[in-house]
Amino acid sequence: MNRETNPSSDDERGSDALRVLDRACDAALFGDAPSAEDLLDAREQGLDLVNETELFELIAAQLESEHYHANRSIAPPVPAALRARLHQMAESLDAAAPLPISLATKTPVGSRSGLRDWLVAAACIAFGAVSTFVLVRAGTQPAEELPTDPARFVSMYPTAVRWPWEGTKDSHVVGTVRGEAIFDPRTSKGLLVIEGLAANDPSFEQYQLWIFDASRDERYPVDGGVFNMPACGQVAVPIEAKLSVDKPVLFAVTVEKPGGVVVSDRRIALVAKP
Amino acid sequence: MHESQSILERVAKGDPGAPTECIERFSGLVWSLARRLCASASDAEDAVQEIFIDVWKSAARFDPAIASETTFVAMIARRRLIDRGRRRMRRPEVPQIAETLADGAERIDRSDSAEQQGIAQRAFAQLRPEQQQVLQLAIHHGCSHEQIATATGMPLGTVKTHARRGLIKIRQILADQGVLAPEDHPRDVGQSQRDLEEQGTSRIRAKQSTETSGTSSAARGETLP
Repeated sequence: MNRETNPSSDDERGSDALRVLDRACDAALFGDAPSAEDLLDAREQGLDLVNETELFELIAAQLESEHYHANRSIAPPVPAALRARLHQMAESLDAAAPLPISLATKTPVGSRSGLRDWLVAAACIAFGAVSTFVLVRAGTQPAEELPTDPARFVSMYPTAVRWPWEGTKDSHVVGTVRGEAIFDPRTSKGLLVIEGLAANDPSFEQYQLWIFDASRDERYPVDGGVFNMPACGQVAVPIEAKLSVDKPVLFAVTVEKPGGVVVSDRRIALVAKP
Repeated sequence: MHESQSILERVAKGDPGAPTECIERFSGLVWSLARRLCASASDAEDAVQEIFIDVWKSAARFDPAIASETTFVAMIARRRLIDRGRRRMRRPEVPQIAETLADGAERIDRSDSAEQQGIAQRAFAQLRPEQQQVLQLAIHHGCSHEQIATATGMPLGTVKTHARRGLIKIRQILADQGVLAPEDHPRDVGQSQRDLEEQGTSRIRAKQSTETSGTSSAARGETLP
């Protein structure tokens, strides 16, 4: 399109780009997680919404730290008991160093125990998760029968697409994200291979897969089901979409309440796209 | 032995003692943030513990070329605190906001030097008063759009516009000052896509070291010696 001869189009695209920046500002200031549609919009504008958001987050953080230093003489002191607990956590971390990044997840709400206790709890959770990591919304064929080895899966389903995962800035993304979303549109079967997500407590939250299909309204992605991330930091999850997905364009993994949701609040941890 | 490495780099490498140093250096900042953004002291104490776990596990992602350690820690702390606030829907009540806003304004006034307020604060000071008000409530008090609208009497859409335009304006000012790399600079809020593409969309490259920005340690957001 000729920019010089189509100023109204320029304005429109400028407006689209501004909308992307607005989304980034909202995410940085208020934690409004961008939707998959926002990510796609940004991509169409040639922008990286995750990077834009992080830039605004850093500016807000810079303002915070400057505010603190300008007023540190009157800042509230750290309570002695809290300081002691933090040091206990640090000592536990030293004893276990280096921190296994796959074990890094949040402290249970309200917990005041040290990191060692928390690591033990996380490990227990992980054992429970390993046996239940297969997606719960399987179709007619039990998902467990699908191969968990990518090469074998692709050999069985040669029309499958293979897209790498990209992590967002969500706190559930720990370390380097690796793996891929493998999906065969002909059979609506696939395999998620994921590394780099925090182990989750299934009683508190679960990861949920969403599949965006070009043949459907993009506001209503196909629910791919929920899964758990074990403490080992790697998972291979066979999937079988409940609804047919003819033209997948994007896979997204969100963090949701246990059992998943019908409508996501769009806290996206991973995306995979061509 | 570790002089050339930052605390976070040493935490990432499993250096014994580095997590303790991390606490000593950043707990004041994190506690100050948590206390302002959490509804209660006990909630803030839980949040601080979560934040330090987040900081330690994210330490490998720290890049001194992008931001100072303090800014990195503050960013992680804000993310966690915003997440907690949204999850529990227990943000401070509006009456508390008005009180803390007054406190905050007074504290800023007590700071007698622009240098002490730092590079971002100087950019902040150039915003329109209503943009400053909205951003102060959003950043320093963790208020939602709705809470800011209630506290200020502004329509919700106006709150969103002031917040967005204000933050974009700060980014623009910092880029003009060379604090951000030129490609991170949204020169004009109404610019075209091509302009944005020309600038690129790479990560922030805040020149926050003394060598590159010439700012004081306070301006760089460094912690107490």
